[in-house]
Amino acid sequence: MILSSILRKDRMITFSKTVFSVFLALLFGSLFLIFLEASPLEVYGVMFERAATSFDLVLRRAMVLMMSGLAVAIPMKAGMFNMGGEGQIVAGALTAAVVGGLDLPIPAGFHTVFALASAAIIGMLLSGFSGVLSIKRNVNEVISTIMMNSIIAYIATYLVMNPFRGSEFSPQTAKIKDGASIPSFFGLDFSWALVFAIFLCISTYVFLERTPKGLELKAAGLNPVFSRYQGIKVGSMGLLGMLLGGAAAALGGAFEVLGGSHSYTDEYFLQYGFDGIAIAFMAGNNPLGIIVSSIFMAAVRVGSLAVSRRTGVSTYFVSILQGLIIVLLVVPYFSDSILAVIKKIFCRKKEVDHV
Amino acid sequence: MEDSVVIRMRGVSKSFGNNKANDNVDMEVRKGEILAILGENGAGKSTLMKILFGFYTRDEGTVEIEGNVMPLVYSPRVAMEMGLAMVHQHFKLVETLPVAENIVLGAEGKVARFVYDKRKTREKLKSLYDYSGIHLNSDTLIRDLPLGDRQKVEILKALFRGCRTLILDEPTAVLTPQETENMFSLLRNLREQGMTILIITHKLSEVLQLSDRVLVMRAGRVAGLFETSHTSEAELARTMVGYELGSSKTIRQSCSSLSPTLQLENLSTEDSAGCNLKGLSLSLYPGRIVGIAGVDGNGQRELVEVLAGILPLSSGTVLLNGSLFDMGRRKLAESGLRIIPEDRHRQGLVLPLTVQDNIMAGYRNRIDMRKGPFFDIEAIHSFTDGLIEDFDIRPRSRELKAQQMSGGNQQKIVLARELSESDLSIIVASQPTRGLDVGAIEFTHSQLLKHKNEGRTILLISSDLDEIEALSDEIAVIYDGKITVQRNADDFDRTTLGLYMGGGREDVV
Ligand SMILES: Nc1ncnc2c1ncn2[C@@H]1O[C@H](COP(=O)(O)OP(=O)(O)OP(=O)(O)O)[C@@H](O)[C@H]1O
Ligand SMILES: [Mg+2]
Repeated sequence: MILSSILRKDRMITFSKTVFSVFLALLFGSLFLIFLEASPLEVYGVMFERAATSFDLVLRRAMVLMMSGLAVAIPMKAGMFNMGGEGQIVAGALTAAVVGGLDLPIPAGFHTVFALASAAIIGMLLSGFSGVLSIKRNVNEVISTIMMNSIIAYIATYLVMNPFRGSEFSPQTAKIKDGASIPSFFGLDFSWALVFAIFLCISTYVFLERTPKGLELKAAGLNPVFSRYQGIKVGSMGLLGMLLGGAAAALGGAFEVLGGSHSYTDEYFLQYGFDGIAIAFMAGNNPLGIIVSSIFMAAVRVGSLAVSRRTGVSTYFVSILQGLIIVLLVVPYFSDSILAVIKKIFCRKKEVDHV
Repeated sequence: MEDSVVIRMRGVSKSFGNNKANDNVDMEVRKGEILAILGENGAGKSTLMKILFGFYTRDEGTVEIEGNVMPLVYSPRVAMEMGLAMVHQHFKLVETLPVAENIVLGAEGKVARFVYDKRKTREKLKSLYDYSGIHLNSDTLIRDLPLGDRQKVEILKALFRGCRTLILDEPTAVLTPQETENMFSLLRNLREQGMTILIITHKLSEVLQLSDRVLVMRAGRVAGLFETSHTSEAELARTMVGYELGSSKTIRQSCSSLSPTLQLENLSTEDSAGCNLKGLSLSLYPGRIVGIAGVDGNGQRELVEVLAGILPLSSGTVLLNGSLFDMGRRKLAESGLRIIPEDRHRQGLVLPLTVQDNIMAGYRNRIDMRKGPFFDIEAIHSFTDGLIEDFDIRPRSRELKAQQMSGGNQQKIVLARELSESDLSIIVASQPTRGLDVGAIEFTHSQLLKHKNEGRTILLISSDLDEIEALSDEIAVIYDGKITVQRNADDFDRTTLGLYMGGGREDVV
């Protein structure tokens, strides 16, 4: 039943448009590469070869990115723009590292749950703060979440340098207790948290498409006037979206700490939050699409490390690619007209739908 | 006569998925005529016009404009260069810009070469206002304008571009009779000057009054082409829907022996950007329809917003079944009040959501639609399918997005949602039949009368005086945020009604 609605025609069109934009972005990216006197084939070859050979690393990164994507997509559905994923991930990760490092007289699994819950609560407090400011005081949440990012980053730096410092040599916390960790997935380089992250994406989809609250949230985001007429509390829905988004981001950071790095290192999560914006965009804010787009983004990120090492093209090239993809998606006119030209050349096929 | 044909469409077809919106349509438009296009909701009128205007690409067929064979794909910009202008069924204005900028937007080249000069634009527009007889304040923001005035901005926009062929998609749906009359004389004037006009409308009387010829569409095909002088309302209606139409009229009943369900006393508001209520009093009775007549923008929207619990009261009291109702705390919706809002795109629908979601938005809290925290998918499918069938929403698909439905069918989605609640007790219907075809109007009227006969309380707000007169037991006139008179519908004739609507009073009459 869910499958049939995923495969709905308009969704497939959106999907193929996204794939097409990604393809175009790679094409334009190769122009840049030629300009940098690098061979596009070689660069992309290295990139995807590396991504394929260390696919477990890709998945580990994708797990955080999925949560980071949800952190943007859910508030967006409710009409709010959460740009604070970057800070919320850090806050969640640090909280999980600190709570996971406590000596608690509780059974192993419970310690993990406790650490995750604390992280989620911190994330909600942060995003909720911006949400309330926006709804009650009309402070634009885009600005307040962005500014929160810097505040949190500096506070986190201070905390790992001083009170929570767990290593003499680097700015990082102590290792978490074994009882708080999330076990690795059959010995691979990623943890069971990936399964949980995918589960959360699916749950979000079900929430949005199959529950009354989900319908209220979408309606509030798409048409506030309508929603007021239907007695939907638009402000509460916006806040709910922000809270869920903050929790998702914080959980993403916590997952990585509890299941991967086992401690929090300063600046470990740079860019993860902003990647989430691109990921949500590529997925058209569809939580199931986020699973796919975050794996893609993770592959590009992981691959780019090898690119800079083996071909000398900077990792920043990935940011250019990302930018191109977003521009092509945001300005559909451009890729649409290229598509139209291609259509004209290859066939006089009927067009299906005007939406 | 051959060269007098300005537009020729031959064998034009267009499908959306499996839905054939236009099926082998032929249309010829002669220079300087007014051609009316008539047809049921979803017959394909808007689609045909959008194809002509380059908005949609046809699947098959040929289009010629002023003798030029048009390519398969062309943009509205090209159509405009060929002298076409179109006023869409649903407005395409920028709400946050003033009237003047909306008129010139996209054609700024006509007022300025390099730098846009606000003052010069406004001076230029003055002559346009005079020429068209439409007078608007250049500086009012669109979002503060009532729908009727937005319509005028759209028409001004088309005229400003200096078109030779004007396409109007249901331009009179939001106009008062007086405004309609004015617009018609404007259109006749334009025709005198050689302009060709294509007009879509659902109002048969307007067709007969205004047009030279009538093209009737049905289920995507041309069902008939008539010289207006050789046809009648009955013939047009029959061609359009395929059967004879009756017409609903209420059997008027007096309210005097009843105690009111809902009593509004001295309601005032302060927060509306439009016309605030200034001590409005009104009584509604069970099993009766009270019709509100009035020129658009005299507080109708605010009254509806107050009843919806969106606009706060600054003073006044509301009595529900005789006891005080605290509007600040509770919503009348909890007591079974349902609203059919006037603007379906802004207030009545979430366009990007499916028909099913739009309907379920009104039933989201019903226990029988749920399975634990989830929607009971089977229950909501059969419930929505039932309503789609009952309200004859076409095409019969709950999966289409609201924005993919024709205007009249969008309205039916709103009606289906608001009129099917089991605990429905009070209906506030604001322009309930705007954009509906004659058959669907007939259906809606009979629905309202059915609810009346079942004892529900109905408030009908409409700019269509025929509708008000046909359905109301009592008529109230709204003027400048107040009800200036409320009494038996029989006590009004058109002249007194018109006087009250213009702000006149009994003692002056
Ligand atoms: N963008 C679209 N996508 C899919 N289907 C569409 C779209 N636009 C119109 N349709 C379908 O095409 C058919 C004709 O629609 P159209 O808007 O032309 O009707 P209409 O004659 O203008 O009706 P109305 O009087 O209700 O405005 C309808 O069945 C409608 O659902
Ligand atoms: Mg239409």
